[in-house]
Amino acid sequence: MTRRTFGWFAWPSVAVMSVLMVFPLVTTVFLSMTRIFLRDLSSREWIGFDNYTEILQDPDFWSAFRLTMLFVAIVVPAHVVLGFGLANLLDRVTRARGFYLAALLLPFIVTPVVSTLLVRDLFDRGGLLSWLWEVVTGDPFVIHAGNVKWVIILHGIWSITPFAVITFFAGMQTLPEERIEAADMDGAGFWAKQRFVVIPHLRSLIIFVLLITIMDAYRVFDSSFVFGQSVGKSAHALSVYSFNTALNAQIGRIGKGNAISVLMVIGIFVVLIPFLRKSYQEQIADR
Amino acid sequence: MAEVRLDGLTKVYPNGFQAVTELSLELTDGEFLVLVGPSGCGKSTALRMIAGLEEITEGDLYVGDRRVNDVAPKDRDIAMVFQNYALYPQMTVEENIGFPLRLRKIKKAERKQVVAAAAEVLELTEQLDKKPANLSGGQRQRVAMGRAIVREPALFLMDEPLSNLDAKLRVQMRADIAGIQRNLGVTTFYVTHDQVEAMTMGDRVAVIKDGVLQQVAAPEDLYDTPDNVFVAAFIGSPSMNLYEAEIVARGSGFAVEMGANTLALDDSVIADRPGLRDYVDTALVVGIRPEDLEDGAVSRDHPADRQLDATIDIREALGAETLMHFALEATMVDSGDPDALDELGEEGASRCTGRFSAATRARPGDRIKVNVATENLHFFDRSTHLAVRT
Ligand SMILES: Nc1ncnc2c1ncn2[C@@H]1O[C@H](COP(=O)(O)OP(=O)(O)O)[C@@H](O)[C@H]1O
Ligand SMILES: [Mg+2]
Repeated sequence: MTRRTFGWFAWPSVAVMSVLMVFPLVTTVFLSMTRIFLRDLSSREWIGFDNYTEILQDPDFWSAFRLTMLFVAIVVPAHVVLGFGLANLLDRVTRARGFYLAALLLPFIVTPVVSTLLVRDLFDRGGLLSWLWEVVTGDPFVIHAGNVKWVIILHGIWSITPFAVITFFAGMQTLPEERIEAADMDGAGFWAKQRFVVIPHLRSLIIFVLLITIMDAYRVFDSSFVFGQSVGKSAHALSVYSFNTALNAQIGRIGKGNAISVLMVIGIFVVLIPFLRKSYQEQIADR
Repeated sequence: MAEVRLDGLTKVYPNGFQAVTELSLELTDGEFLVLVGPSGCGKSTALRMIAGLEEITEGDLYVGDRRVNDVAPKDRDIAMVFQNYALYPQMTVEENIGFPLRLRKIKKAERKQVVAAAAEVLELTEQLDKKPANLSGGQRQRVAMGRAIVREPALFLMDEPLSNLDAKLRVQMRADIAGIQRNLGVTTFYVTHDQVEAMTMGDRVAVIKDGVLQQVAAPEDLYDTPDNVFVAAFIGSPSMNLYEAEIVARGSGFAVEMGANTLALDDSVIADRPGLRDYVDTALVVGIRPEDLEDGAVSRDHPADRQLDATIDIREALGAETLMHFALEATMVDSGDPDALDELGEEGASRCTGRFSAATRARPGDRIKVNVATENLHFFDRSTHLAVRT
């Protein structure tokens, strides 16, 4: 393909990408350098990096940042391990597979806000888990500023794991039976088979799941927002912090909110770049 | 290395299908035994029972003196080469071959040595750092063998290992595998549906049909003295021609009547097989190997009472010889070989295949005399299909 024909093929998508991505991004960066309020969008003042310096000195930002990082750092690996394990179990089930699959998928299908409310009710005073907690420890479980992050993380794992389960389960169906049997004959036990046969076979899917869920976990919003309603700022992740800053009716600081978004975009790039680079290099090497 | 004994192995699948019935075989130390039969006759099932990949429904399996029915595959001291090689794609050739050793916690340096030695035998030394995806079919095949031989197992199993190779490479690998096996002296149980492979590679060949063992013998014996109609038809290419016939007294001797054709028999034929006297005036099955047929115009001093009348149908000149297919007025017998059925040709017409000398001038449509070496005829009971040999 010549460069010219490539251009012909590529331009529609380049155009769409520009409209859908570059334009909003530029607008966001522009707004992040202005002082502009939700209640009066007509008055706008150029203030350079003032929003950024303010954010970086805001303890609420750092608290939201820590929560988000903790969330990503725990939810992503935990759900991959859990998803792999469950996919393995599902693969072993021969009867009523559809039923188990549906049951596993449930948290993924339910609207995030609803699933958060569900979890909140479970943990609330009088909720099932709270009651169980009381049976075991003697005290009722109460969500408060100190433990809310763990509830958010648990909810995160619970709601995203199905994605890994179906992806890995689908991948396992394409693993030739012969290869497992060869490993059997070669003397591989359960763990060796996972390590040398199953995981290498799922490798590209694992990377795919990691990439998607890192991005997804980084944007955690619903559960953080819902729990924030009851316990306040300690439940806030970055996206909720940004949302509250920009769109809260009382403050409505659109400029500062956009600055937070810009910082978040930079953050996700920093997290993902090594990843993208590695998988790109591997693709090249495999060719 | 050891003797291996299959004692009445039976496999009934969970759906109730009985794939193998009371299979009994003994492999002597270092022997190359080939199990051959048409597709779907239970060869893989038998092999997988030995490997431990499929549970044995009934019967006993011994490796050496040890009964291994309930031993896990990895502890049976048996290695297997799979039809599709089943290599580990992420590992190099060296890692693939060394994998069983790695699992046995053998030190890296020693592993390297053993793998290098195996690679030498298999002519894979140049390929050690490559991944399976970058190898040819034959090389992958050899890697799979390497992975099996480094363990020095008591028994080597191979399930149609050549079926994914092209015809030319198959001939090459046939010789290679047989050679390597002889070098290593490891007891080998080899499964194939290809009777040529079976005949060329095996010390002994076991023929199986519908899960039931038909005959075990050295290749020559299998060919010369098949126990029944199925083995007679299955072994040899082109297949033996089989017709319904009757033995009749004729003057002082005997003759065989096949439809409109009558062939005089040597006295020696009856003398060697006195049992045939019981079949006089009784329907039986006669088998004629294609090589026992010759164009009457090529070899002229053949007795006229041992000739068939035939009309040439198809001529296949192979250079050294010419395969001639002709119509015969006689009733063919179904040997039970599913692959042979489609050779029956159009309905009603009985086909016969002869392996003529290349000197034959006969052309399709010609009406010719065909010489029959009647001293080499095979006889089988019509209802049991068993050979009449005594
Ligand atoms: N898991 C199974 N369940 C039921 N029937 C099976 C199973 N595996 C194989 N069979 C049947 O058993 C017969 C023998 O199969 P197989 O041993 O693979 O034959 P071969 O290797 O000689 O071609 C076939 O008819 C096949 O359909
Ligand atoms: Mg098979």
